[in-house]
Amino acid sequence: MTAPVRQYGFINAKLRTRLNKLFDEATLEKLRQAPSLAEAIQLLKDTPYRQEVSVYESTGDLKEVEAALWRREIATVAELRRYLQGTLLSLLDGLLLRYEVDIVRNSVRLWFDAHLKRRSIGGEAGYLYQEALVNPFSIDEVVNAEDFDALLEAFKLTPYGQLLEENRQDIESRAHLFRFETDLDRFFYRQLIESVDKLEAADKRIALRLIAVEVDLRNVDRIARLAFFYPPEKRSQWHIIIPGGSFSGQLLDSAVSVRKGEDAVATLLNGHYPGLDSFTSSSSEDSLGMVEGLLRQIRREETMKLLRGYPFTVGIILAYVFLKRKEIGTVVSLLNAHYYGVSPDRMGDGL
Amino acid sequence: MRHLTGAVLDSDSNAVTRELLRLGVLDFVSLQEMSPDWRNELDPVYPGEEQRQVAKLRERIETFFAILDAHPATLVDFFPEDEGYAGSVDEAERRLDKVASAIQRVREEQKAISQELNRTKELQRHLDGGGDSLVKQPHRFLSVRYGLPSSGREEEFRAALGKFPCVYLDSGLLMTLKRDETGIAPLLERFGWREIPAPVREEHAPGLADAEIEKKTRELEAKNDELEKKAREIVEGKKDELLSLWKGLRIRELSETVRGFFGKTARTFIFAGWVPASHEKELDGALRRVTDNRCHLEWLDPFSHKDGQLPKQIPVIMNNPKWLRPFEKLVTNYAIPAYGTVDPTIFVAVFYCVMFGLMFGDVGHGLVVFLIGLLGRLKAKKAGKQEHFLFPLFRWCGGSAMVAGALFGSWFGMELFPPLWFDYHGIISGHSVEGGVQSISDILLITIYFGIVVIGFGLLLNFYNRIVKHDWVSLLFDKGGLLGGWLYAAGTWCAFYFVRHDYRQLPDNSFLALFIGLPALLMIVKPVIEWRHAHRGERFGLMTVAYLLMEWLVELLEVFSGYLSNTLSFMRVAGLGIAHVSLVIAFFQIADMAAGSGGYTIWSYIILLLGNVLIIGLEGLSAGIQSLRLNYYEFFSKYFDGTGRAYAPVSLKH
Repeated sequence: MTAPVRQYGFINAKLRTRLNKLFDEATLEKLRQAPSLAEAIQLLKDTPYRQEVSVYESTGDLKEVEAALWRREIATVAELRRYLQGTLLSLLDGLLLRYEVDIVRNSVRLWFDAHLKRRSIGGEAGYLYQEALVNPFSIDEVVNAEDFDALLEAFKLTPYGQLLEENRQDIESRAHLFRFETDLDRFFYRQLIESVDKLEAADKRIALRLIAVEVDLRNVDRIARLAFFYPPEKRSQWHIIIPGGSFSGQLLDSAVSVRKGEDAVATLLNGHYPGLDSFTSSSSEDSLGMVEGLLRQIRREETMKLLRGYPFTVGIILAYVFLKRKEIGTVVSLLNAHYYGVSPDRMGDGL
Repeated sequence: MRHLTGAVLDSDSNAVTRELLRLGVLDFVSLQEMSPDWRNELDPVYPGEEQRQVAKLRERIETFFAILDAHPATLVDFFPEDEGYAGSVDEAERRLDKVASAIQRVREEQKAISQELNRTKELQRHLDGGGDSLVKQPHRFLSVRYGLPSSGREEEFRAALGKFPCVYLDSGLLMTLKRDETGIAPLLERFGWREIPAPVREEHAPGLADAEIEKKTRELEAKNDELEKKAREIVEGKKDELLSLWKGLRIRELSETVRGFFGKTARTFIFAGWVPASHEKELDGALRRVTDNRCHLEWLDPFSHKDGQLPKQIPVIMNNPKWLRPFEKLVTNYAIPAYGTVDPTIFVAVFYCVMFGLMFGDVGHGLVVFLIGLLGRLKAKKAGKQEHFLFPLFRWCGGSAMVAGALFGSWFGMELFPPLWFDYHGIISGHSVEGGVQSISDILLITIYFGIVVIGFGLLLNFYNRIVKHDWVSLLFDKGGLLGGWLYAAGTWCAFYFVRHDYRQLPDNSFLALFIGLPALLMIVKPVIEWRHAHRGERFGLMTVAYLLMEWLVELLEVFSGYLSNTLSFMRVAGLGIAHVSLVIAFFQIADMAAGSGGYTIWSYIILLLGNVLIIGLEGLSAGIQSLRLNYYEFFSKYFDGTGRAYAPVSLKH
């Protein structure tokens, strides 16, 4: 038995079984078409999320359901640690960082609301995942920090203090977290790529390709969204680009600096995927939806390509983590959409 | 089964639909599939948008009942006189919306409680973190003050504090989070907050706050329980109305389903389907009655088909008695037998139990398996549910193992009573044994005999199936037909002859030529006939002859290697049985090794207990799976045609 087979044989079999259980389009469509939140919850009771969604009936609180779903996802990824060793363990830590970064983002947002916006955040911190993942910090320390220095103190044992310090002026004087949040994303992908660098050559190639697709998705999504709502001079002040994708820096810069939203999208897609101009030739709002649809398709195809290929690689772990995250994200969005009475058609656009 | 094709007038279509649904015996056939010519002649009556809406409403009601952990289908009976829901979909939707909003209001109240609980829990967390040091060294996240709002505004003040995590006691203790200071300060000012001196024993504050939080938590949880109950009460209160609506909607939905199978001409509706022969008269009479005989009904016996071939896709009803149901499940798990062919359930039951017993023969172990089956039954009965089909299977297998255990004299691996047939343990452990079965080879031989019986029986069933299907070519020339059987019988005779003559002599040449050579030669007839059938009018070329010879050779190879391996495959029955006995012996030996000079110690008994648990779990599973495998691959492969489909009429019960 070769080393990759030994290393990935078991975990691949396990994850492939789980991948087969991911929701197909028909299930998501059924969920989307559910006449109400109660019915959507009922549909999910026949899926592996039964326990998590049952929380709704005992609390009526969708945020509790959301928290339970994310807790489950983190537990699922953390569980993979048991089956991995060596460089793959550090890759898993890199992947767990995604959740930690989200928790940091959400806890700093709460602090920001309570201390700079002077809003009551009630018991919102209770919905956040409280246990340590990769770096040690306490959510209570963060949301209750009396001032910025106390906030930095709360993150003193983590790399996030440095990120906050770098964005201090933006947060305190300009009262916005946008740059800090972008920096968090950049930090996550940088760390993930660093952990990928330690892998064997074949694994590294596959992992970088998948990560590049993820980064591209985020970059195009960000540029497209911001380009539709903000003028180029404002956009260029923000660090909106995440490094590590397959788009060239020059192309990304030029997309950020064009005037109209649809031109930014056209610049990006035509510069990287020639022949996709039909996606950007329609009206601006449609083209944003189409871009998102296209990106989803690219992600799906990359993942499928990987699943059809040689099975004993790190790709299956990454594909599983990315797809599972996407699935839970979609379920959460659909449940919220039902709660707010969004029509199934509009939900379809947002899926 | 009888095939019905019916034509009724447009004006009678509703009555006919109702009657078809009431009787619920017609397994519909798509008219277009039945006769492609009709595709142009008939307009389909597709279930419309309304039917989908009706189905959605029905599902909505089911989600309401899920709050009660119930399903309307288990709470309501259908009667022939019941009518479908005649109101508008919008009206039904409005009625359901009312129930949904009432439940949603409860959920919103629950949400408010959940949020309050979250706030309370956060405070509790900080309080726990600060603990008793709160007064001397105040917790850095908590703010504690003593005071009172303006007289008469206490309730209003409490309500205004609601959105903050806080504790406010009648004694004037107000505990909040420091981060909320900017929100709390204006509030205090607005309500005329007056500071009062702290009590002398101020160190009691954390305990008081803690007690208050616990009290509040308990109250909130109780309130939430009440609300959960209230949601159930809403559905309970509307139960009859909802059930009646569900029933009406379901009938309407099914009526639409029935109509979906109709084909339409200008003034008539046409439908077709399969009905069990026993219901032919009943359905015929009912349809003629509701249409005042204004209908044309054409009944067809599938066996009277003009070219002697059975039509495709005739549905199958497997009419086995209740005690055979678990074995029927094993059969349908593989496939549904084709219509008209043998339902093998009874044979599977016999062979499965015999195989299991031979592999797992022990009275004690069988008793445990039997008791597990019994326990499953009692548990299901207690829960008012239908038991899982595995439990009766456990009882059958346990019983079979007990019988085999008595035959082999094995009682939890001990020989408490002399064996009725042969001493399995004695043979495996190498003791001298009397009787006809004295060695492992004898045990293997028994299983080979058993295999020959199973395969031979499979071939007999295949002959029957071929006759029923009028498949004469296969009956005569197939490897599972008469020639194949002839070869198998002769091959088996040769094998035993060879063994009896110390592996040195085969039967004489004339025997071999007549019983092996001749049928082998005749097997070429099948590919020739099939080729002629597929290439009518064509002449044999050199390539065709080569192709037919190749096919014949492959078929012969399959016969010789296939039958040999199939028969030898039954040696696994002996293999598993030997493994079972060996494991028991091994655990007894380990228990002996753990025994002290005075006999068995506690460790010996623990080893025996755990060993028996392991044997029952491991060997029980192996024996169950191997029995299934032998049935599926050695027995079914000889005769089973699994192309059937289960009878599924549109009825109120399905």
